[in-house]
Amino acid sequence: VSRLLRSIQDLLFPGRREDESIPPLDGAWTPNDLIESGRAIAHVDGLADAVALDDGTTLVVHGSRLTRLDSAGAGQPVAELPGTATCLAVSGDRVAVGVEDHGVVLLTVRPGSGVSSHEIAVGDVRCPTALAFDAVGRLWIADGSAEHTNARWQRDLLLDGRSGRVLRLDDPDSAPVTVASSLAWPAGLAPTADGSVVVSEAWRYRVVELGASGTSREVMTDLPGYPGQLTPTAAGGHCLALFAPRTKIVDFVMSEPQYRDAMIERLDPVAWVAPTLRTTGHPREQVQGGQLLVFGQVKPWAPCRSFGLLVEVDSGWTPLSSWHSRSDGNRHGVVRGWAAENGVVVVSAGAGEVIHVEGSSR
Amino acid sequence: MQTSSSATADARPSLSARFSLQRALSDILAKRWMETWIPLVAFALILVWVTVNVPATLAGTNLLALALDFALLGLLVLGLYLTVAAGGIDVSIVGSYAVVAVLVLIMVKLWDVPVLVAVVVAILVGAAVGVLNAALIVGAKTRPFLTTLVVMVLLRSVLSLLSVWAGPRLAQVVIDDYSWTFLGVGGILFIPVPVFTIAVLAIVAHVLLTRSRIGSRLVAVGANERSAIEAGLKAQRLKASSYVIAGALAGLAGVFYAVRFEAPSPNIGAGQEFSALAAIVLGGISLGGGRGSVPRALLGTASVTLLSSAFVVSNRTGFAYQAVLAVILLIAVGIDAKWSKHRGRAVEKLAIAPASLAWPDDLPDFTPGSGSRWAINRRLTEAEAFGLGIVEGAEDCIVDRDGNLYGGDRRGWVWKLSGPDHSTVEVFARTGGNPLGMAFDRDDNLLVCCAGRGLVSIDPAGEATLLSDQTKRSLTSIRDDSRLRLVDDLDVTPDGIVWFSEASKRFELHEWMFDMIEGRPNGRLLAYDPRTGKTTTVLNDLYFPNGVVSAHDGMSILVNSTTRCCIYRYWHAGPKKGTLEYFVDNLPGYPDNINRSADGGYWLAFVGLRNPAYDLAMQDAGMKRRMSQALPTDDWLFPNLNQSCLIKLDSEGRIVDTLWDETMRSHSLVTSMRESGSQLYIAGLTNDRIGRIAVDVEASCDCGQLPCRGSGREGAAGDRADAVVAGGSAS
Repeated sequence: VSRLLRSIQDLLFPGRREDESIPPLDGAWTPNDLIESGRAIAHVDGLADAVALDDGTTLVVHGSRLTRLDSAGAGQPVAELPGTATCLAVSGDRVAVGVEDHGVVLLTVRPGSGVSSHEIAVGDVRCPTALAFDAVGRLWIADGSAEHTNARWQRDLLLDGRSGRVLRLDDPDSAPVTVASSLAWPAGLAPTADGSVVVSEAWRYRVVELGASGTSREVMTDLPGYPGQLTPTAAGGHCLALFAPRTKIVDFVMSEPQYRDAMIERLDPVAWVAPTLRTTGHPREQVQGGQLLVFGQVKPWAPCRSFGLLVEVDSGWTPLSSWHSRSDGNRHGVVRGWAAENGVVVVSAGAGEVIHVEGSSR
Repeated sequence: MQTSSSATADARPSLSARFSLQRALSDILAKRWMETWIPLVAFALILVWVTVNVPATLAGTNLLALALDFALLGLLVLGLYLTVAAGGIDVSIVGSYAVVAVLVLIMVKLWDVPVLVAVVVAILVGAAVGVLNAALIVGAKTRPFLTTLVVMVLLRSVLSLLSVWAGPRLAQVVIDDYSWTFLGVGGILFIPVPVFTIAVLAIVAHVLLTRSRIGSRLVAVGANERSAIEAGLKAQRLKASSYVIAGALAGLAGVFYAVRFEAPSPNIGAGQEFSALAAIVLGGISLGGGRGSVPRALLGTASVTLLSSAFVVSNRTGFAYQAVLAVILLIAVGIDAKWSKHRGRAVEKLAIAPASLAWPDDLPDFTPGSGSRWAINRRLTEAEAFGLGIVEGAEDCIVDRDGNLYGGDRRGWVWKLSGPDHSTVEVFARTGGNPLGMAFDRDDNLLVCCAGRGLVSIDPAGEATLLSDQTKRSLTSIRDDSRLRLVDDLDVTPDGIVWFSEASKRFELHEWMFDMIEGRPNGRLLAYDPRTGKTTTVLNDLYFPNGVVSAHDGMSILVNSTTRCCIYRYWHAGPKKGTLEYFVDNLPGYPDNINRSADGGYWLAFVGLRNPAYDLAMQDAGMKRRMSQALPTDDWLFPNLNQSCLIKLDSEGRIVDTLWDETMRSHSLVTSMRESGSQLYIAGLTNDRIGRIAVDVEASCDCGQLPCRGSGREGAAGDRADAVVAGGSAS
């Protein structure tokens, strides 16, 4: 009946229904091809996360390995991890690595003198999505979901997962403190000086600040993609990576439980209607009307399952500029980015590349 | 995966696939006469209300009064409607009607003017007021509503003076005149004269407005004066005439009033301008001009008359009547405004009525290098390109006996690529439609299926003529399906019959995805007989038939169904004559064109591949409907039309070979291919070229149809007499 009423309303007063529309990319979000025009520093298969070190080198995790890249992009193995690494945080010589279905591994890495590993089983973190050290050395941990591990993030999204947590480890030998729970896939952390933490809550396309006293405040809402890792900038702002686009078709499929459940149950995940980190063009992948090639070309603004998007925000969380890779590009699935000389460094998990992009959209 | 013909039953779709209630509703709503339904419903509601609450209104004694009321108001409404249709408005008609009524009484009673002369004078006086209005509005460019309102106030004061002066004098005079009595109580064919008059005038007005040049010009001026003037219409003259006619009609109404009531009063017609406007609005006629119809105006009149009569009969006051009328008006106007604004949208929303369509879940492994027969390869990637960057969207291509290559173009052209390496590219013909499938007839005319136009024949000199663009309308279709919309491929049997398919009777070429998402059998197979020039519908209810070839056996036609992923086989001769069956079923892709190969097999183009997410959606009709309504087309789930391929079938429909362009760059979409000698030409609806690759084909078939032996096309013109070797006569 409500559906009938809705369609009558639609008929007499079209356009009045509040739709869950996706915000347009304008202002600081205006699309460009900066990521596509950037220079690849290194190509790393299975790239999951990367962090810049003070000495100009970069630590990357890929597969089950931790590698140090020098400024020319040459890799030097640092450590082997007990499973698939998903995220990374560095503070001085302390390195924390999230390992899928395993937990968090703490390492001490000193240039020249090898690596010591200190493995901690943090609660029951099976889906570490983001790690961050705060100014006093405490480790913040985002656990994306209690139901799914990292690789099954699409399933968690489609099933509207709300089981993520943020934990804080005050001391490596004690049990972690649960700061917040029932989060919709927390995927980025930025601890602040006053003891609170800013979290990107991916499935709610927002960034929230969780206060030390249990308060929460939305600092960014209705983002055009699913927000992931946060990296502080020197100016007091942050670089926010949006690892996958929000699309109407995914929202629509999520509103169709019968279709969604049949899809999850019967189809190979490659064929799902879901955002991804990369689009391969394999015939099993879902295709939308606007993606059809005409004269061998695809429109840059065609609907997409994956894109590359990094945005820089100021200390008040106002977007300043953005770096894009669009439908006609392939440097998609940007999991992290940070300010660098004359521009930014973008970590594209989709293309498996660490890319130096010169210039900004400003 | 494939089933061969012998195993399949009749391929005609079920009733539930062919019929949809939602779509029938959409088709009915799209009819022009559906604009009237809200006025009609309003009238019906009023009728029911009156019947239940004030049954005396419709009793025999009151019927005559009702009819006369209707006639009087009807004349006024007719005039008012004419001015509104022409983009103006005339509220003064009620004033001139009242003045003329008193004037007629004075003429007949006091001055002894003959009744007929008085009638003529009355009409002329009414028309004169119309001329005054026209002079002010059209000549002096004053606002119609204000002008006629002022004129009405003027007329009402004239009325007051006249009736005060004439009232006592008229009271004693009795009229004894046959024609006066006839106008009052007489009847033509037992119909009271006023009613007869309004009926005749209404029919005349309706015919004039809808069927005559002057009528459509009048409405055009009302709809948009600016563009009517730009189009060269004499807008001022048309508008002026509408006021004059309205005035004359008001004069006539005045005569009928005088005859009926025989007494002057300063209150004649008081408040009737409101009733007339109410009738217009209840008829669903926009006061903005250019819309509505005479029947609707009269329907509104009927509603208003019925309501007012019911109030008179039930002794309620005029105030109550006006209040009720006002409320009904508000509601009707509100709904009608919304409805007329969004009717098109409702039609559009209901027009796509998806049906469930399911295939077995097993798609082959397309992964490159997987060793599967369907593994994507690069055999089309390095194809030689012709007309690169010049030819845009050749859906089909064909080679003539001299080796010239022809291809279509999305701009409606047919290209001729001549010379040894097809380097001379010129426009061969302009078809006036979107050229899709091609075939040569026996006289070397190039027959082309042109979407949006029909079956077109191009002679060797490049002159295009239309052979056929319609067939007989089918009996069960609500919308007229006699016109051909999306004809897409054809073939000619040796007896000269042209077999061609129309993919969809409901959607145009650019709307093909609507037909695809709907998943219903909307297409048909047609046959054109060049001897009689007639087109007949051979098969209705095919799923997007999109490729037609006469089989090597000469007794059957193979028809590709794009949305159903199958190949139909229709027997037009031989023992199975008249049956439709599946030649190949459950294809892993969407077949487009199909053509013969000289070895007795067939080439077939897959315009795209089936895709698991889309297959799943195709099974869920409700999901498809909601998706088509909630999302723009660019966001719909689509089958994978970016990865096309060519396949080779043997004579029994078994798949022998697959050819791909893995890069999806040079031949991202293949819709057709044509074998000529040891070459295979490749065309695609969204490609910027025609490709060519060498193929190794053993020319073993001698069925006499291109490219097989016996066709007379391999060089020796003398062999042409042998062309008709195979093939029975078409049914």
